[in-house]
Amino acid sequence: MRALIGWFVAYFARWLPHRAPTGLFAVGRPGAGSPVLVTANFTLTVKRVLRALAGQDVWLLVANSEGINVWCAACGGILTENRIIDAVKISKLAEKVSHNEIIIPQLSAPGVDREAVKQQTGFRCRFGPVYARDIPAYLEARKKKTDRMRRFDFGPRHRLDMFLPMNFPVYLLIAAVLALVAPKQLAGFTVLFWAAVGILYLLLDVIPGKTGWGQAMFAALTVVLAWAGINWYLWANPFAHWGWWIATFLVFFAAGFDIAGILSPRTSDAERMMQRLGFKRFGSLFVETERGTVELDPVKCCGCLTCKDVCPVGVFSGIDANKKAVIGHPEACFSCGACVKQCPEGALAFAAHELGPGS
Amino acid sequence: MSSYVYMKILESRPRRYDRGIAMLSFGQSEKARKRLVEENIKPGNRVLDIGCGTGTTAILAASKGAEVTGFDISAQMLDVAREKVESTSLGDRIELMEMGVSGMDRFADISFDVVISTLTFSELSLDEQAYVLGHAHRILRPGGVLAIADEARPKTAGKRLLHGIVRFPLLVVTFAVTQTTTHAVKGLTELVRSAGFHIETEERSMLGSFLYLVGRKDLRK
Repeated sequence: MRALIGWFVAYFARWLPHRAPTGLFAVGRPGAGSPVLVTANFTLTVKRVLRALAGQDVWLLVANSEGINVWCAACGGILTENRIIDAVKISKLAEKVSHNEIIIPQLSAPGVDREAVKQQTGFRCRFGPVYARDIPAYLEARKKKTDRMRRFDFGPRHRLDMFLPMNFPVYLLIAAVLALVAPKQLAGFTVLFWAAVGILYLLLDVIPGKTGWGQAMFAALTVVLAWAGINWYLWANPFAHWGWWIATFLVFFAAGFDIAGILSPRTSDAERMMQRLGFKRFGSLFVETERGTVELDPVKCCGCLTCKDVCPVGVFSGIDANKKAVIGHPEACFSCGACVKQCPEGALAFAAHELGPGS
Repeated sequence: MSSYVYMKILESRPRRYDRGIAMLSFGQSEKARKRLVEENIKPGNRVLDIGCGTGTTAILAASKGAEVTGFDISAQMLDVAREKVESTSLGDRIELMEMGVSGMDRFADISFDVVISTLTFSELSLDEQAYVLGHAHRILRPGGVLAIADEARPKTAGKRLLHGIVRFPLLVVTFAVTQTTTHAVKGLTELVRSAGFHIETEERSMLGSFLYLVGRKDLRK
């Protein structure tokens, strides 16, 4: 029961940090030669990693990321080399294993300076797959990653995972207000809200529109036209339920507030809106301007393709005749900073550019 | 990506840290820092500040004439701390280092008179707390003092409930505005005692949610 509640909290409250114990844990019956996998102490992450590792004999080293998930903590400057160094030294990992390699999550790449970890602990960091569920296959293949293991998957699985945790709090908030001021409309709102979220999550790839907001509005317009059509047909008056038209637009807007950001490798609409409006800074919700996409200095590039290994969206396609990395898909870049941080030659940087459509 | 906004918010967090902490603790944190320095630090003391953050306590200690070494895991926090130190004339009395707690192994035995820590233990997990206390004991001179001010878990269920009710809305608002939260420590006094310290003071605030703890290392050792 307690475990169930714990899972429930970890799943639904994922906007807030939630801490798991840190340290070195034995999964199965690991020995001195067993691989060491590192993760962060966001409770949901640890639960998922442990589930993925069932049946393996490995060491799991949980570093302290203040209860924030790997990717956010790495980009936010919390999961840094210092956290890994602390975890390795405090757990006395060197006394437990006979090798000097740790496998850290690929998504920690924006935050972790691997050279510093090596200098201070003697352990070399190797980037594992993006998803814990790929770890068994990754170990099976002698720690060789396929391109698929390197990619963040914005597909149906991710959407299903985000569906309830992202929308339920929003629903609850509006429903609570509605229950106080207009309890009669609660049922209608409930149907409308989940229909809107369902439509957006299912059809995001086919709804026309460049931005998430545009897509949400297009979907809302379609639904409103359908309303009008049905009303016209049944009651010969398309405006019979015009109040619900407004409700439809509002609900789609609420449901689609950040679908571009959550469900696809695109910049958040809310954030871009602020930039367009000329806000360089809005309280503390919003501070920096966009970093721009990544650019390569071919003179410095040594062709090691670390960049390709850590990129979660496949920006780098391979190597050219001069043994330099090739940015094959610059449009895919959303400036997470993994390659810039990891490039051993400092050959990658973000190009600042004017904000334009689709940037 | 969504998390993108969240990431950026986290990135700029240190600049808002001082405000967030003041909000969360109803201003108790400032009072606690002052008291901690006032009661434990004398001019000329060699002081280690564990998790110095934005440097507030370290500056207070240095202005009382101590030689302060402060370290923190966050480079961004230290950037703010350096700015704050520069705006005082205490630069030659404060040394700031970027490292996690495991870096404490670099300090020599018996090299400090006082070890202080404000609002850091609540950020550490249990294994880290035990590690820190072990090293604090090692590096302190015999008779040296360990002083901690931190958020603690109230002792009785009633107070915990009351504290939770008062704190939850504050927690949400503070997190929304500054992305700062703390995580109350549990059973710290016992941990300090088992690291070999003699507990001299253990005081809690009204709701029992703020802990002020002073331990001393035995003179004989």
